Amino acid sequence: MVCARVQKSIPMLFLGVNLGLGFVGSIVTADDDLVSILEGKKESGDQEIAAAKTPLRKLLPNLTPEQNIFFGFFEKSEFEKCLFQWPAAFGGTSFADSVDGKSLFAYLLTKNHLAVTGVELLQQVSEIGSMNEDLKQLWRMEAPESNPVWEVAMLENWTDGWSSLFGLPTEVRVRGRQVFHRENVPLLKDLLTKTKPGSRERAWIEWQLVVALALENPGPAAQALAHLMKLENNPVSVDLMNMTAARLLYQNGYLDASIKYYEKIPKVSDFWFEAQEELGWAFIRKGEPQNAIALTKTLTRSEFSAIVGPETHFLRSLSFLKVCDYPAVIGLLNDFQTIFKKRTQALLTLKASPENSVASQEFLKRLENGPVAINTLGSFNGILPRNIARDHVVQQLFKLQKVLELESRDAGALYARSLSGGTADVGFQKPLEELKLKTEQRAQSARSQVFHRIKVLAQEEVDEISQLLKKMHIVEAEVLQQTALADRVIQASTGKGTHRPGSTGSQARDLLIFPQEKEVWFDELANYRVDVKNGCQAVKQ
Amino acid sequence: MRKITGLLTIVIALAAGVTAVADDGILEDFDSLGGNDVLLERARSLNPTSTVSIVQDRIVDRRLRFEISPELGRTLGGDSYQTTHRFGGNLNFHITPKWSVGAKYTYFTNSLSPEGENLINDTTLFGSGFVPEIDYAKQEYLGLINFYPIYGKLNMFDLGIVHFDVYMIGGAGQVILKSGPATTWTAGGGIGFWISQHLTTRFELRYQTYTTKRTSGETALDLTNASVQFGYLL
Repeated sequence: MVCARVQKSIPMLFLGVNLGLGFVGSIVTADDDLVSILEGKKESGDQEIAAAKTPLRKLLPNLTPEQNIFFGFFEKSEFEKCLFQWPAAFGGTSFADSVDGKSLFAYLLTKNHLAVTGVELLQQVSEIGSMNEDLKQLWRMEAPESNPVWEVAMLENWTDGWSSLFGLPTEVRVRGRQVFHRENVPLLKDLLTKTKPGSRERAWIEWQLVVALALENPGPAAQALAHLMKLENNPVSVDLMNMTAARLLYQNGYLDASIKYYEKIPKVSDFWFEAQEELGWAFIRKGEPQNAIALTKTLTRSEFSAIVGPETHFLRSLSFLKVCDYPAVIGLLNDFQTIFKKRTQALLTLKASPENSVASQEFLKRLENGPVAINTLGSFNGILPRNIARDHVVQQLFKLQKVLELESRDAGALYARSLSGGTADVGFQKPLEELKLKTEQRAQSARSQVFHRIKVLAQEEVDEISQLLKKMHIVEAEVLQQTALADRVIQASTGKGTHRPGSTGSQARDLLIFPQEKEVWFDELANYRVDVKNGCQAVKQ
Repeated sequence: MRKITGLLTIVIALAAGVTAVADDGILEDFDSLGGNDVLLERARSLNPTSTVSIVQDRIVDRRLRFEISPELGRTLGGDSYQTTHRFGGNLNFHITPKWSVGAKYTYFTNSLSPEGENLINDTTLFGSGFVPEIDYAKQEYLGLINFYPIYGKLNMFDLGIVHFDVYMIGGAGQVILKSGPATTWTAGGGIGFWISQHLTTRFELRYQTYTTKRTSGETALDLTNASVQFGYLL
């Protein structure tokens, strides 16, 4: 009796296979799901994935046995086997080049720990909107907004199709990494309207709007910034916002207000040196060169020469020029020559070969543990570009490089396993070998991009020094001009001395005043006050 | 001369513009900067007088703050037959960093000095030991005013900077003697170190006077008090 039943069931099974092997996978999955549900192993998310996977067979009208094997693996979430099976199942077919085929292959890469490669491949799919809905659902579940791939993948052509596929928070996360310019203002406004009020995404887009507007429309930029500064859920640092507010106010000629904002930047901030320099310019514009002299006294100390840019020296020389302190200007010209010639040489050496620079290698090594603080770079500060530690592009590219190196390693391992675990047919390892080579090339390219960025930063600083060198030459010429006219100035002097009292240093009610001596106490830096008497006048004794 | 220097200005500016184009040229361009101090002598009479000073915050804000400080001290001088140690407490209210007012309570411990011991034990002088009459102090209460005219800072073994104030102190109060209460006044000076936002240390030296009563009559006693205080700023 039992035997008879068996005999009957075997032909039935074969009939099933002949009629449509596609059901087998579904049945197996359904059985697995049932067992899993009974055992309490499966969660609702897995059920959703399973539900989305099963109809994928409908992507192709007639499945070949190899394709059936592929979908069998797919439905059992054996994605590595899927990848090995892909060439046998879809190699040379029109499906492989279709939107769904490319999207499915990109999905497979993502499931095989090649997320960046997968997402970047997906971006090569032109009409993403026409992707199969079940496939879309799989992608949505695989790459939600929280997926780290959105932080590193280079996705320059984000379209509406991508927005509808991955959602607005993901769009904001990806696009927030881009640098926006004036022409992007409409896009930013559009993004703003899409984001939820009070959300971090909205605050970040608001910040991008401020930056985009800052140069051309400081008024609206200031309004947007004022609104942003009131938000609690704000990803932008307070120092950066204060700095931007100070710049916008300075740009509009509100010097006293800008000075107040610059003074809010604490000494521990990475923006402090820049803030002090720009504060000096505000004092110069206010006609208070003595205060600019006081501020730049700290900044031009040799200890800070690698952190402080050449413009500070120019500002200081200009301030001395304004009070006719010519020996000080000449001294500063000599200092500029000494400091920045050496620095330019270092930067040119770095630019010529950043890959071989110990400093850049050490910097990148430290970058592996996250953003590097300027003060931790020590003597390497003198060799590396001044802005390297806070350059988001370097950080971004380095992060991408590290992820791609991991993916390249994983691709290599996949290729090695495919040699033994792949399809029974021969010759199908070639696509995997190509994949391995491509990921290696991509990782190598990312590494080159990191070094290229270091080159760019070095070149930018050399250009900056070059520009400032020109200005320092003009300052020197001005000194010669003014000293040549000294006799006339002496004759025209009224004999009454002028007094320009300084106002820098502590503004506290209970302050301490010490005379300056040769010995420098570190706590005294940035607390200098300079009083100038009788500048540019010959005082009759 | 004006024409020559004007021309010089243009030449230098142009030279700067031309040479600073290529990277290699930058290094050469540096060499032509500076070193032109020939004409400086002429303009020295126009040079300004610049005074650079350091204007800093006080590390420890002492405006409108209370300071509680226990005190250990010793009385120097006074009655030579006794040794007096002082244990006390101070409560100061800092009105500004320059002025503070306070109150001091002191408990005295007295013992015979070696000289006093010798006097008692020496039987050769009167045939038996001589016990001196001492009107020793038991406690005192003082009201004080402090003025801090001088400030400075100290590098504490390269661990940090400590600000200090040198101060003058004056006050009056009552001292409880063996014979009973007596009025006392004091004046002196000290140095206060403001170690942290809450911890303080003071070294103080004061002159103090009061009148003691003995069977032979009243005697004005002039003392010097040296003390150290470890305080807490509220």
